[in-house]
Amino acid sequence: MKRAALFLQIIILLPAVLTAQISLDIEKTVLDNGLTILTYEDHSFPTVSYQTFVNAGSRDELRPGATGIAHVFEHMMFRGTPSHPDYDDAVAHMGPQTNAYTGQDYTCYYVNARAEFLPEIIAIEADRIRNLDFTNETFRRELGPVKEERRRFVDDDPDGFLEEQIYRLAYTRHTYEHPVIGWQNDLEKNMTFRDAADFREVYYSPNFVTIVIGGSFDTENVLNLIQQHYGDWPSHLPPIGRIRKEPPQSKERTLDLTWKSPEIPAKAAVAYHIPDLNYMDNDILALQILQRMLFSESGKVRKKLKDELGLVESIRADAEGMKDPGLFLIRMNLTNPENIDSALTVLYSQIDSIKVNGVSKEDLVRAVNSMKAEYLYRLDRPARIVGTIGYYHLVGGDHKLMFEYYEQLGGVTVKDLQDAAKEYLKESNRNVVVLKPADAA
Amino acid sequence: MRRKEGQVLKYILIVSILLFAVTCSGGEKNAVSDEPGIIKFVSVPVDRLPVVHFGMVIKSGSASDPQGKEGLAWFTANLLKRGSKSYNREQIEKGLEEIGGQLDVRVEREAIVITGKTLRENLDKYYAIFSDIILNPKFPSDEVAGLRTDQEQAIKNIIRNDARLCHEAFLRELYDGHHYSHPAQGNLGSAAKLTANDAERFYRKHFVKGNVICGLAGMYSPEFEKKFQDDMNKLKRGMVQDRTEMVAQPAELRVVLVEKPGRDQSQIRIGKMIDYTRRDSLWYTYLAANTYLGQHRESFGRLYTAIRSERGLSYGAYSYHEHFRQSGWSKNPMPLTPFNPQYFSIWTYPKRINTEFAIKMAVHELHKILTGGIEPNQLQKFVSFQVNHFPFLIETAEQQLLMQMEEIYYGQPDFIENFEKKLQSVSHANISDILNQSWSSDALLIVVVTDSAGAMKEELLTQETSLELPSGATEAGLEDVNNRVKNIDLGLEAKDIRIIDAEKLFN
Repeated sequence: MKRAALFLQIIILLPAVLTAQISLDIEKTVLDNGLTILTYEDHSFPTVSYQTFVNAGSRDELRPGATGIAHVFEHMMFRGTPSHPDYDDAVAHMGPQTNAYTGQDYTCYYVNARAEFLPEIIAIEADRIRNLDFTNETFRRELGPVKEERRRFVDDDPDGFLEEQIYRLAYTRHTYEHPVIGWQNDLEKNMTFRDAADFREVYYSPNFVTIVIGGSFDTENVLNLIQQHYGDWPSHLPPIGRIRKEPPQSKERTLDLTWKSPEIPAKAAVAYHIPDLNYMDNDILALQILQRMLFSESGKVRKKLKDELGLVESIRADAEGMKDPGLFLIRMNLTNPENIDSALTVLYSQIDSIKVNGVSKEDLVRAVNSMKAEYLYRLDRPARIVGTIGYYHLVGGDHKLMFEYYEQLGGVTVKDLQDAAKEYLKESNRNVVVLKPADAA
Repeated sequence: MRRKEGQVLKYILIVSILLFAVTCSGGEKNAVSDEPGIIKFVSVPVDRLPVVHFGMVIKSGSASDPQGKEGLAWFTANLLKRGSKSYNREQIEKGLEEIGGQLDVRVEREAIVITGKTLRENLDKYYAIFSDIILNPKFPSDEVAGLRTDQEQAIKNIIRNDARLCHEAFLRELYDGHHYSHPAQGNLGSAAKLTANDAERFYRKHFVKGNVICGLAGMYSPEFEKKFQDDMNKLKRGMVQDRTEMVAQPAELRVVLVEKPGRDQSQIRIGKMIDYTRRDSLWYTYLAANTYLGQHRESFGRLYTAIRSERGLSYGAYSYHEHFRQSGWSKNPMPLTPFNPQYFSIWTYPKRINTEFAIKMAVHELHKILTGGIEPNQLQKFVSFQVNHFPFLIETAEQQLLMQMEEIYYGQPDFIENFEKKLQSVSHANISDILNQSWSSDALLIVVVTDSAGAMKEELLTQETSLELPSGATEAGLEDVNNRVKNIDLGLEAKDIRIIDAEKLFN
């Protein structure tokens, strides 16, 4: 067992405004089988958060026809083991918050509970990841709720559908092209029990798993328990095959679609390729600041399109850092289907004006301040702290990036924003999906 | 430069002390006066972060909308953020963003809830905006058109979202003729006519001392707390009379089908009005029983087990022993969403073809608990679940603040303190008798948002219940129960089933 004690300290220095400081003492341990454990001991809470991160998500679904298998397998993990045939029944007496989520880059299983239950949680979580008992029958049955989940959040939800389509358009080779929940056709016809078993065989292995624990516990005792329950868990072979890189986009791509019913507003999604989560340069941070500056409550683009021109009902954007190059994704609901062209023209001209005229220092400071404060507010309970540690460890490759994010946000300059806008928010790098209601087509 | 270093050291010290000083037991509570006509204050002066949280509850919500002005509470609350004596909308938005401050307003049936937070070192700047909005609102007429547009879209967004539509249609039907029958956002027709003068009148009537609960949580000084109290006491004196309006409930089961074309999935709400409140000891019995029947987003509930785990018919199936809204992305109930009278409900969302079966399965599971009660060991397990789950409702300073404000709202100053004791006293002995008092499975209201409502009406009347399991799954071991469920006679006649058009629901 290798342990590295790290005392990490960040100073939040918001230009002219914030000076508050937070310290988080995070310890990293790696067992001989490759299992990584990150612990954040904090006795100011009566609770603990125990989160198991599997370093595989829909990005790792390489076999055609098996899209959505990472998510389906996440569902299967609640199906029980020989020792605990009903997982939720086994943990119910502890009154925990339990759930899981699958993303493009990783899958997370969390259990938040009163601190005294941590030894029992470690035993149950180790048992289910090592000894999951699932059959073709339970696999087939679980596909039902997954298909209903898809119906609810994609097939009957125009926002979910639009998001699926913009990723499909923006990626031509990389596996970000397909949705986390999988294509309905794969869920209905193509996915097999063998796919689930294979996915488990490759990725549910200690060398692909990180356990992050936060809250009230004794680190030494907990590491001993983890060694006891996971120490003899053998590693599996690494996966065969690799994720293909997305080639640079050279020309704008567009797609016009019609929704199946008339009651929705016309919608548009605009996506630009952006760099992965890497703070070696300022590009991703600059794009995240631009996203806040342009699309927040007082954001310039939002003000222009919604309040001044009344072209959109709502508009929002994301620029999430991903393992591989992700998207600067803008979504808008139009006030009228006829406004689509005007709204897109105004959007592009607002972005272009940044390339030419830059932004004000005042706007930059405001955006950075609100981002930093929001980040600080999130660190209010073990579950959120642990989730943040896990995100940076899994996606960025090092949990210390959670501190670099703070430090480097304050160092982003007006020129960085202008350069990032020029480099990434350009027509040749753009993808646009328009979704109109049935009767407007 | 030296001054900045000094500030840094100060915060290191404060944070270090608090990291080890805070417990999550609900916070030390101040005595709260129960004198009528004065503002009730809550103070939770501890936290591990240099953050100050604000809370304010106006004990009037959309139920206080005058007839013909449905949506006025929502309109008023949202107009507050669009201009005050010293700040216009842009100054408020930019001012808050500049310091990383947050300010949220939500409107419930019986309350307007205003919450906010700021970093400690920006407290003065934040409070200048917050207090001006609360004490000196301007109700700017040049913001009315924009807000009306937002309100109209908020109503349309209910209609567009099947789950929200189903729930609001359920409430509209359940509380027909009552002030709860319209959404907090109002109706399209009424909301379009609201004016700044209407908002000002609503403010003057309801933002009065006897109708307000205020609170602070986090890192603030006693001096600031006093200033906050002194300032909020500048609100006009006055009280708003509490009222409880009962609603006559039909004695028979009834179904409302909300027609929405192009759906592959149906949204279902089943429920009825209830007569217990949080002040009743029986409330804890219903809480425990509901945990067993259908605890929100937990897979051990009977409904979830029968509908999702065993048959794969829906992504979820849950029950609620009182009005419920999820708090953000957590599974926790949002504090301060009062209803009086309250209601019990079951939610699920199966594929269109399995809708009737899912309804009958839910009724079947409800009937089982009403007739068979709950085994003692099962009951104890779910009592333990709630007892051990409770810390997550008061885990942060903000949650403690809202929960303590909720205690005051409900007139239960010891709710947090006595929660475990009262829950542990729940007995299984006569539990089915107790549950039958409020949850009896007759006279239920069933609301379904669905495609081809006319065909569904026929299916419900002819009792031809279809069941389509996921491809490849079998009925092994479930055949008997499935047949029994299919053969349940809901006793519906044509007059018991109404079809309504989603687009016309909130005109």
